[in-house]
Amino acid sequence: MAMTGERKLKLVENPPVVEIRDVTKDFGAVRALDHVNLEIPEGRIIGLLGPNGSGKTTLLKILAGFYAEYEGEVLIDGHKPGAFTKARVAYLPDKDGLPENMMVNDIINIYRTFFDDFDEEKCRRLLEIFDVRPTAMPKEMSKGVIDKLQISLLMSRNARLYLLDEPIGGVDVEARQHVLDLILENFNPQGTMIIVTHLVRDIERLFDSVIVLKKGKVECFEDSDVLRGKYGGTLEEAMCEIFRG
Amino acid sequence: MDKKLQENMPIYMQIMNRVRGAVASGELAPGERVASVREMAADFEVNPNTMQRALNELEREGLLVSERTAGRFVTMDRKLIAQLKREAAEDAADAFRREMLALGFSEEEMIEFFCRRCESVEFMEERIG
Repeated sequence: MAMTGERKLKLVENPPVVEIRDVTKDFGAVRALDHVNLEIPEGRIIGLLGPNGSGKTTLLKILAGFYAEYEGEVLIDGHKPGAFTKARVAYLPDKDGLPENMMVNDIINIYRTFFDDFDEEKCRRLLEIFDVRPTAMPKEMSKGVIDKLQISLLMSRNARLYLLDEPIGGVDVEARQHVLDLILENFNPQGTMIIVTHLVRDIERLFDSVIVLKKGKVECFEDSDVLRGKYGGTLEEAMCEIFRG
Repeated sequence: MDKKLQENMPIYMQIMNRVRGAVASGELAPGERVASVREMAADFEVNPNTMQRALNELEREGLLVSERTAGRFVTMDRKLIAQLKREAAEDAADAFRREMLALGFSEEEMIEFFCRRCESVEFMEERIG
């Protein structure tokens, strides 16, 4: 039957962007990640959710190549996090990782030098939309403006994997919608985006699926609409149920 | 098409209902080209994968038809559209009947009430202009 043929074709997916096999990460006596297994396909926008201390940021940092020591295996496009993967991973840390005393113009120059996939024109366009002056310095900026600068820099990279840790924490409620629209409009379907947030309610429409971590373990990796159907409510309500259970 | 969605139920289903409604009402005409996944996702402010899923399901129902390169179109099957419209009307009528029964109306009473209500609504609308 023609139907079956068509169905089969759709099932053929590209290899996953991220493969995590049995990863455990300890900080002294504290186990941050506990035998984590995940396969993350391309073209997704995924919420990485969980209570404080559940291992979200640790997982992100391993993917970003910040921690080299852990048990198990992590592969990004088949490579261990390192020099090769850093060129294709765009990471937005939760605490400002930008030089305080440098003008936006100069930061853009650094990005252009360091990342082959950086689209300067796009970055300048985004900064204009957000009203971030090219001559301003991070030390003069509010938390919200720094968020906007970081998101503009990140979205201007043509990366395979985008990692965002609390991207809208400092952005006021009115500007949040703006940031979300910008992420949706500029999302690169050949890439995958993993977003850590505790503001689920404000951005839940962004996620096609969510990974829930609880005490360093993967509690679930599920389609957002499946969770809404299963728990009969918003993602945020589903999260509350999952954390309670 | 109303683009406002609720977050407390599956989003792709809500989008499917909006598109069904637009086809039933004729807002989307038979054979009309629908916007791309990307455009519609931006319009509804949802994840493109969610939009893709909604449109794929509508294709499976036969309401939308994909032409390899030209894009997605509303079906030309007027019978299917008429059936869709009838089903939506049946749902609306059933809901009305159910709620009126719950209020203690007999079927006869609710029909009479409905007719009188329509007249008074028309009257009010005329007066307000």
